[in-house]
Amino acid sequence: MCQFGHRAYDLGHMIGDLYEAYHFHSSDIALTMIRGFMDGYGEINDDMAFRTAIHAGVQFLGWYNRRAPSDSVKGTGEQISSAAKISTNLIVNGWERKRQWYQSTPLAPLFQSGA
Amino acid sequence: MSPFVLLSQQSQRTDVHKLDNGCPLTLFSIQSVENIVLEYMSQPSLLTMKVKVPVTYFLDRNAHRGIAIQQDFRHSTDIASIIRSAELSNLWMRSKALSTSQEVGHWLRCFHEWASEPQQVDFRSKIGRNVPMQRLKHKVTYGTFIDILKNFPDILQKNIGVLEKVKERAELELLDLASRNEGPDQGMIHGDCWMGK
Repeated sequence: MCQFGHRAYDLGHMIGDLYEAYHFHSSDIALTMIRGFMDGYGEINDDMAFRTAIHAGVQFLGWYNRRAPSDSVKGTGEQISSAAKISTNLIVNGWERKRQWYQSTPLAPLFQSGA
Repeated sequence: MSPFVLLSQQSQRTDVHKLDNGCPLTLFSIQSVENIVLEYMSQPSLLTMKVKVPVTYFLDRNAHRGIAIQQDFRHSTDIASIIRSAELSNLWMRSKALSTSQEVGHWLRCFHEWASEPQQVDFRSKIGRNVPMQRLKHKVTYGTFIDILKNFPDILQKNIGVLEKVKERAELELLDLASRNEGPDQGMIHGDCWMGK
């Protein structure tokens, strides 16, 4: 899949996938890995951070289709509706550049400068 | 681990190496995008870290359906599976998960920067923009997310204005990327960057 594109797509894909694991499998380790991954990648500017947040939301929302055509949508009723809501919020708040909103989310590491 | 080796007597050679057991291993010139990337990713500057890149031992694109023999990290499990399994997660120390994710993040940064270096002009010209993969990636992300939200009409209705703008920007940028306009934070990307296989 190597291609010319925005680096935020790589960051957002990784974070979106980790968030999905956290949401549907209660994986605390996934949250830790979001933080570690961004630590390892290093500091990014606000543009990159918001684009990454948007892409993470889009990636997470794509969970809906990531199944065999004959399978039902993954998750309990509650998980399904909250996944749709959370992923949309990630996208919309990223577009509207609401930095503060992310501070209480697992995507907070996107907006923290290096110590 | 012992890699499977297929020896061939075909004529055009680019290089001959030997495996640890002395078996000669013939490398063919590599042509597919994926194999080009793997070849370039075994550069010293990307190998100094703890992230391994599979070696392609053999490639024959002319064979029926093509044949590729690649290194298999046989005793490994992908992280996506681990974190989705309570049982496997419990076997993995949090500190190890943290350091692994830091390594992956660091590797990705190095890859992004390496891929944009002047010295990598050859790599970039061989891959090109990879328009088919740009389109595929777009299709399964920005090309589909609004359709998914049609299953959640309340959410869609409340946010449709912004969502349409997000979609539109992604579409315009897809065209830009194909037509060679470059901006900051753009370059060769991994394109399938997640913890799974």
